Amino acid sequence: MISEIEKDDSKINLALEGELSIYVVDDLNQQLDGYLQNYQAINIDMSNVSELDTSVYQVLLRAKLLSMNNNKELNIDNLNEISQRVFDLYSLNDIFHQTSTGSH
Amino acid sequence: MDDDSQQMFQQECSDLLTDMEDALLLLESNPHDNDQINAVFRSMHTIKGTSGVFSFDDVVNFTHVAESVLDNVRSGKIEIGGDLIALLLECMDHTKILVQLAISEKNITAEDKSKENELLTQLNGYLDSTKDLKEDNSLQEQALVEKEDIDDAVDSKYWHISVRFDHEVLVHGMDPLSFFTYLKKMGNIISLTTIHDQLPLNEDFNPENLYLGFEIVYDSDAEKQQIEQTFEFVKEMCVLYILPPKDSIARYAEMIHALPEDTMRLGEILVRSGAISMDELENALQLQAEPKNSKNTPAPLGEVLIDKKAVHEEVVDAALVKQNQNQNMSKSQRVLRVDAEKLDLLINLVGELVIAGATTNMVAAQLGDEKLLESMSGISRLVEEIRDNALNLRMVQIGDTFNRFKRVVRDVSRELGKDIKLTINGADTELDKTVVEKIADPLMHLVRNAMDHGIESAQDRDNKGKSVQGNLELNAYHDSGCIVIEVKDDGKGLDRDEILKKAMEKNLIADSQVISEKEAFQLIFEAGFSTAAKITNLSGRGVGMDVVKKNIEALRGTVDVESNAGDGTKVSIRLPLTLAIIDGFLVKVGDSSYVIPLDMVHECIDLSDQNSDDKEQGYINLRGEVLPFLKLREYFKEEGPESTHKSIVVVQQGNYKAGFVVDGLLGELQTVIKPMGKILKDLRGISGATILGSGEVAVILDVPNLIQRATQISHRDTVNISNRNSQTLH
Repeated sequence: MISEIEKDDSKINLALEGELSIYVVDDLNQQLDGYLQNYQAINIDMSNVSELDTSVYQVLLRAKLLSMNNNKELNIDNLNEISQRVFDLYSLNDIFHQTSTGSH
Repeated sequence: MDDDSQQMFQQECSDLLTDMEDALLLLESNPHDNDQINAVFRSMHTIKGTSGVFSFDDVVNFTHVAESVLDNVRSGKIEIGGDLIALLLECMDHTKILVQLAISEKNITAEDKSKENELLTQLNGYLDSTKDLKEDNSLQEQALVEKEDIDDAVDSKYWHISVRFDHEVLVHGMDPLSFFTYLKKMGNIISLTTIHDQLPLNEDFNPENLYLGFEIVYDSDAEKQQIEQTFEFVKEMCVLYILPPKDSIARYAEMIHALPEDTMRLGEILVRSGAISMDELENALQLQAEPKNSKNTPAPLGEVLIDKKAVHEEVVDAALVKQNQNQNMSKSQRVLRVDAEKLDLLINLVGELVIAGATTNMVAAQLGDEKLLESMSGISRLVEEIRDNALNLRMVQIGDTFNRFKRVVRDVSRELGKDIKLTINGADTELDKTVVEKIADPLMHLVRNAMDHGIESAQDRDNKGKSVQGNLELNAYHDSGCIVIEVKDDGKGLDRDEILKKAMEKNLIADSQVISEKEAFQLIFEAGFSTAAKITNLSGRGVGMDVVKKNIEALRGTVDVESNAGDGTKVSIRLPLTLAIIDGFLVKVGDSSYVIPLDMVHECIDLSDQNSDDKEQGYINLRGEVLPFLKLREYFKEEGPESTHKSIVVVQQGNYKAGFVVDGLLGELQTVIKPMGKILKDLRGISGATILGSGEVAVILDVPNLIQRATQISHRDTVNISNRNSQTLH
């Protein structure tokens, strides 16, 4: 579901894989909360996602909003076709492309 | 716009504007009457809606601003008072002008445009004041902004779908993605806006709950019901609004207009046209049933549907127009609107039928065939009934004409700084439509005169011990084949001596002339009598009292004045009920036939029975009463064979009686009044002519005029006799 690819003290690269649905969303949320607390910058690779539902999208959106509020960085990278379709549909790419404002 | 639609639009606007005026005038006395406030709003709103259907943008743009102000009045954001009511009355007048311009496809004049700008500035002044209030209320503002955002997002060609799922929807295995994917199969999602305002960023967040809302702009040819069916599985777990494309408004309006014209409620009309689905109607009805406010008054269904974004306002307006039409249609079993020209044609034909009937009757009488006479008698009875019913078709109530004066009295009172109350009695009295139309101007002059010259200022009234508020009455009632219309005030009354003085100055009467009070008051109707010094802009409208009298006489009517100095004046107009056909009484004078309107014939007596001295003096003693008479032979200079056995036909109009001396009495007949030609129209004593069954022309007597002549002749003779007597005595 989620794996750590690379990390240092302040930055971590993660990869989301497989079926990301409501069945895994609780765990995923907890893990992301943890990373957000521990790292200044998070990159999430989406290239191996085989399913992405609205609940997971919502968790990713919340993580992004939290990162912005906390003056941290969270980037979603390498969207494959499946994840790209969901991101495009929900049309919040502006938010996902934003860098931290620090003032939110 | 075809003629029918134009007529319908014009009639509807005219009715709505009248309703609006009535409601505004009632609001003046009770500004907190919510029913009237709603009535004014509804009228303005419906005019805007209907004008929108016909693309009368000028009307729409103006009424929109007025409607916005009224909406704020309804919601209590703007307090309604005298100034705003006066402004709304002006807006009503201006709307009337705009509607007329729209129908006649004319451009607004510079003067009217400048008036419009002035009104808009004043209206916007009220709207600005509410904006200030709104700024204090951030929640309201936020709601407004949100709504505007959504409105902006709606492109004219596209559907707008607004959906808010329950938090638990995901847990139930329903992912919004699948619904949106399905939507894509029926059309294109032009844009989807995800609303994430409700997404908790704190520990309250439950990842299995859905906090997102969606606003979708959707392009599809699907019907509303099909789109709604996409969400069938989640309909219990979401709040869904589907707003049709603005382009389809015209289509919906068209469909609504094309619906069969049976009695339907608003909801049914909208469902049948496809503008809303059954579910939306049920939800709206449920919402409507919930008490909205402390007053427990349910909001109108149309408003609930618009609030819930189920349907565009314009579609509701079209449905309301349809509903009105339906209501009118259901009324149509009782009321049918018919072109006045068709009625005139019918009445003319009935007139010809009456004449032809009289001819046949005469032939039957000559033939002496009893069966034919019997049959003719049946036909005559039917013809008479047809005549009465045909004439009744033209009868309208005078109430509408009277109601116009409410506004006039209000405006003129303000202009004059007087407090005048108008009371209307007998508004349901009926008379011929043509008479109603022609009497409006003379009435207007009399009403203005009463307010301007009759009723005193509040100060004067107070000094005289009268109530400060002046009273003006408009009364109507039927009296012996006539309609009597009275304009009565409780003002200062007419000053007989002043009138006589002025009449002498203007050489209208001789110094030595003996004048009765009635005659003195009649002098105010003489041309050139107007007391120029007193003319104000109210009276200076180019119609003098002499014109008033002429107009009334042109309708075969009379005008009478009663007045008591200090107590007020009553002007009574007496008019025939109809201008077309009457029951007549045929008399013979020499070789000629004359017709006297039967309603005015009181009795017939034998002249030879009367005292010969009296006969010479132009009056007789009728059971102790002095009855002046007129010898028609002399008056009309008839030279035919003279009967030795003459009769007097006693006629009465109001309180006045006179006798006409004739050679023979020929009996009753139905008379079709044919107007006199232009050359003969000013002849005194004749009101028209008719064609008898024999083809002979008979003159119809103008009884009121002849009574006057008889009275004058008799009075003059009496005065001469009394003068002779006094000379003898001296």
